[in-house]
Amino acid sequence: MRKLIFAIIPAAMLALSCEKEIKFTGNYDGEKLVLFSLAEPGHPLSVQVRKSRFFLGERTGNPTQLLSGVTVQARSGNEEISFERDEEGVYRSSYVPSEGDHIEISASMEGFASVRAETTVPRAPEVTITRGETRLRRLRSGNDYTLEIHFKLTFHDRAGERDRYKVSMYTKNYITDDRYYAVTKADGESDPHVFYVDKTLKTKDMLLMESGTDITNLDIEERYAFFEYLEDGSFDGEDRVFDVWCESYVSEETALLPNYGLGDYEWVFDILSLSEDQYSYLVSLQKYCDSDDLASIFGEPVCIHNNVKGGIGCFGSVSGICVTLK
Amino acid sequence: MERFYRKLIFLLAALLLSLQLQAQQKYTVSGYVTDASSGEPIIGAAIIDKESSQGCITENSGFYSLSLPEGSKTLIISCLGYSDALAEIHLKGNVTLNIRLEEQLDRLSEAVVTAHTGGLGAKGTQMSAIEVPISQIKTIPAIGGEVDVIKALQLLPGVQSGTEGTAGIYVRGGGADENLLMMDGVPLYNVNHLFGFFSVFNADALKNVTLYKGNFPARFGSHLSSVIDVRMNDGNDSEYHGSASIGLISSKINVEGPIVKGHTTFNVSARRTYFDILAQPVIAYINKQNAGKDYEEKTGGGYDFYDFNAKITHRFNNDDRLSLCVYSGDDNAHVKITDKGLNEQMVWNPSTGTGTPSGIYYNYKDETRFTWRWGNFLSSLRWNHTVSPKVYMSAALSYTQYKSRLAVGVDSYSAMREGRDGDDYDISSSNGDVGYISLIDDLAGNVEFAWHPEPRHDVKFGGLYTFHTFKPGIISLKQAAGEGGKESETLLDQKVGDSPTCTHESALFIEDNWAATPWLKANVGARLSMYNVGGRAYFSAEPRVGLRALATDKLSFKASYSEMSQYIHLLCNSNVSLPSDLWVPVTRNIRPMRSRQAAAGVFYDLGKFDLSAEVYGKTMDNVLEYKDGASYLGTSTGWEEKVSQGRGWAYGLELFVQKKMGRTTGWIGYTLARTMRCFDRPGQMINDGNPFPAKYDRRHDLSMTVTHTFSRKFDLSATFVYASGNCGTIAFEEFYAYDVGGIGEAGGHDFQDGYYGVGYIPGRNNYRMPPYNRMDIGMNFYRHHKRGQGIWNISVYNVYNSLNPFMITTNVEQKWDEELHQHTSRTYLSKVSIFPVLPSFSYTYKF
Repeated sequence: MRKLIFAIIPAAMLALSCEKEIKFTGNYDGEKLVLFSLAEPGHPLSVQVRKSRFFLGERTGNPTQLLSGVTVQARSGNEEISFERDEEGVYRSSYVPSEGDHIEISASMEGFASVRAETTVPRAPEVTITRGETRLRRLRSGNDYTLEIHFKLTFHDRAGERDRYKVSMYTKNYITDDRYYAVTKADGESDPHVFYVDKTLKTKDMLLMESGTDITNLDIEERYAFFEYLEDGSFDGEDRVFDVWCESYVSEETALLPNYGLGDYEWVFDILSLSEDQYSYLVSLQKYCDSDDLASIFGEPVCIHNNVKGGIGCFGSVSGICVTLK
Repeated sequence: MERFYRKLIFLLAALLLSLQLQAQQKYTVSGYVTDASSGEPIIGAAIIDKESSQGCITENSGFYSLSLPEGSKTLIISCLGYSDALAEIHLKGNVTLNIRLEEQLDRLSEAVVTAHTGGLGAKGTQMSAIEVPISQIKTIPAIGGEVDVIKALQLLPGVQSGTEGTAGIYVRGGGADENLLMMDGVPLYNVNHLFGFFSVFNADALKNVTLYKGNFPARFGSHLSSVIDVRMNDGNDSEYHGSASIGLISSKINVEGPIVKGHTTFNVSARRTYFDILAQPVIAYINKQNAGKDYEEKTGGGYDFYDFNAKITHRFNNDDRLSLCVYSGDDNAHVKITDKGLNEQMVWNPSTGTGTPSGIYYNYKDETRFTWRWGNFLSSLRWNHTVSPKVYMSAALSYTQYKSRLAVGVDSYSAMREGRDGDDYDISSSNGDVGYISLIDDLAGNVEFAWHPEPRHDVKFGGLYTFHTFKPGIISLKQAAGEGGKESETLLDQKVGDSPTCTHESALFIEDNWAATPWLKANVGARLSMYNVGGRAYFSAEPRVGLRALATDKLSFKASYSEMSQYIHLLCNSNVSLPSDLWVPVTRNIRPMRSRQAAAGVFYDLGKFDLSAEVYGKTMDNVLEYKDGASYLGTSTGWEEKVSQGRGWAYGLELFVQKKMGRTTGWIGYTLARTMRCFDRPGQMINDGNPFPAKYDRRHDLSMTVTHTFSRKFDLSATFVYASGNCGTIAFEEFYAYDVGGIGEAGGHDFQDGYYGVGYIPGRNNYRMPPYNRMDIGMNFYRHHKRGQGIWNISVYNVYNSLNPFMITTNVEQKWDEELHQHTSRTYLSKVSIFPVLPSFSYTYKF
């Protein structure tokens, strides 16, 4: 129905309209340096620098190309950090950030405005994760099932801090497809909040039975199942429990296979605290990707968050914990 | 808060008591001022005591009341477009005096300049308000010759139009949903036809239009930025008159007259478009091309809108009048596509490699229906009663509804057949229907009193209550199917969507138009409003003050301050008005919008010309803006998470020169303005919390409209508009963006899966469209007949074919490069213009 509406309105407009090329009259001050860096405790700091490209006219240059000849410098407190460019074009340092470090990065190159950015490495989140029941439930209509696995995530949020999190879940033993979703239900809320993602976890059996595709042709490394960004605005300083149900569609034939559902499930929970800029950047990027559909014709364009002064990009930081459950 | 209300009530009581004491030594002359030929009440006529220069103006019903000391008095009654009248009276008690003013018959004569003593003009206390005579609106050239009240208002200073050709208005930095549009005192929620290119107001049915941009009288409220008060004609009380008009886009008819002479009048108007009728020959031709084949596709459909206005007024006696007003208007878009065929099945012959006819046919028929109807229904019953010579009451019950209904249906039938004319077997059929309804309706009651204790005071007070019902988007789904000749079985029949929300809105108001000294006048008032939604009540106290200082008889300075609150929002984020736009109430999380506006100005009455210059400053709180990536088309669920609440501010200068009489009339308006938005609250940030210009922030806006009457048989009008471009959000730069991936081989989190060609937008509304300019001309040829008058109107919209931007898009052009042997692409900006030069004509016969 939506598509029909979208089709009719532009068609009516088109019938009346005429289109003409116009000169660009906005403010454009030339190509910019594009800087990305992610500071994480325990891992050496690296920086990638590219350049942006003017959107209009004939497109030249390759914006994916890592630049050489860039002067990259950083400072954390009184410590000067130096970088060397490796064979891939990434500027790497030996500096290993710690929680609470405040780091400033600057980069300059001839022909471009100098850029700089800063971040403060957040503290790792305090989260307890426990595994609940697993059940195979028959769907209301038809003879198929869902496999439901329950986890309980308890965030012990620190009071007085504006914490931002990224929660990711995946499994090492499964390959992915497009029929998976997870439902979380926060304590005290009547309606579950449904996260719908376009990646799924399935057994090799199910995949073979459904599509008849030889799994050797599939990318088994593509393993991300579910991720979500959170802010502690509604639970600052409190313990907040999220019930996570992982549901997988299971066909009747698969469910009746011997020992189905009792295999080695190895669930990985990757929970990160994000710096404010990193959070804003990732949320805006996700919106940008989500808005790339027909409905966005009438939607607001997405501005990608940028904390690189004089340029484009993001210098953010994360601190995480990783829990694996069998 | 309670103390504040106590003090306020005490002050008001003291004020009323003092007025009563002062008023006891005087007598009152009161009555109605009406048009001599039609009996139509005249709004805003001035009644002045020649000796003391004290006076008053008539209410919307034509009622006036003037208290004067005992003795002989000469009253001068005047109104623009009418000859002045004099009345000699000897006051030794209260007097009822009804006055009928003669219309100036010779519209070419240089009329005697009529001083404004009423609300507007140099002498009135009201500022930031403009009254546009319907007669003048009718001469302004319009798209397709379709006279449009809203488009005429867009030509006034302080009023920004939306996207080209649309009827949306943005007043002093406000949003499209911040305008209270009232027809005979009842709000209308959707004033647009055809996605906003035409408004619902049929000028033939109207008497008067007043736009308030600020200095809002306390009797108005519930919207932040403007009040558009549209009044309908009551109808002629002694003779039957009417007009019929035929134009390129629509036809109109208007009839008015007495039902019971001198007591009961009616006024009925109707308008309908022909898009659907004009499209039929084209559709028939296309269908004819497809007819008679084994495969046949038929398309039917069309679009039309109509308006119907009716008003019946009954005068029981001099003190009581009852009027019933009805408006109904709908847009209707419908499409029906039928696809049917009879295909003979082929048998594949492997030896010959060809197919041979099998004699078995596949018979199928698919039908897709699409209907979209949307529109308003409004009705009101108003009782006007003269309580005493000094107190006048107007009470009304009203109902207003805006409804949008969309239905999509698909029917499928298929069967096999032996032979072309054989019976069908293996029949399977299915049908599905999806319906979408959203509506808002209001049931309201209000009462307003006008009390004229003495010439120095003109007090209005009253209250209102509105019961709102919101049904923002209910979807019904039905599906049935049958196979093998079995009857269809219902597979799905359910409704989804938000449940109706009922809210209560009430308000009390009082205002006094007080002549403190001969040179200083004030309009002081307050409005207390309450809104109850889901068990939560919001209160608002809104002070209103307007001051006028008269420097000379023709020069005055004015200043005003007013606060407004708004409890409902319109969810829409497209350039055009769509029927899927949803009105929603405030919630526990989305707080009421509030504005504070201060304005100051100088007004000069040059006789034939009115000149004014105003500066204004306005702040808005809790205004809504859509978050990045949010889209609302047809969905109401979860809307709170898609909007941010923030603040806005606007300031500007408005210059206005108007010539109201003589052979040449018209106005020039210029606005220098700036409108900003800022969403910097935690969790509500847009544009990283930095201020950005509003979408319709236009630095310069110039509009001129002029009508020159050459003779009784011919007049010519022209309109010119120049405005800075609207703002939009466009990316001009692209970069390679990264996501944060999972844990890499080294144990840390890596960047992964870059996104190629991500558009970089430095900030919201970072681009300003090219300036907008346009000139329209219109000509009226009058031919006088024995029983009436025929008028030919020829108008040209956008006479020099200025291709103004409706929207800006980025396009990619690909070429094959012979030298490089590869495709090269070029991205460019283009503007889409929808209204090139558009000539039109219409013929109207008045009788």
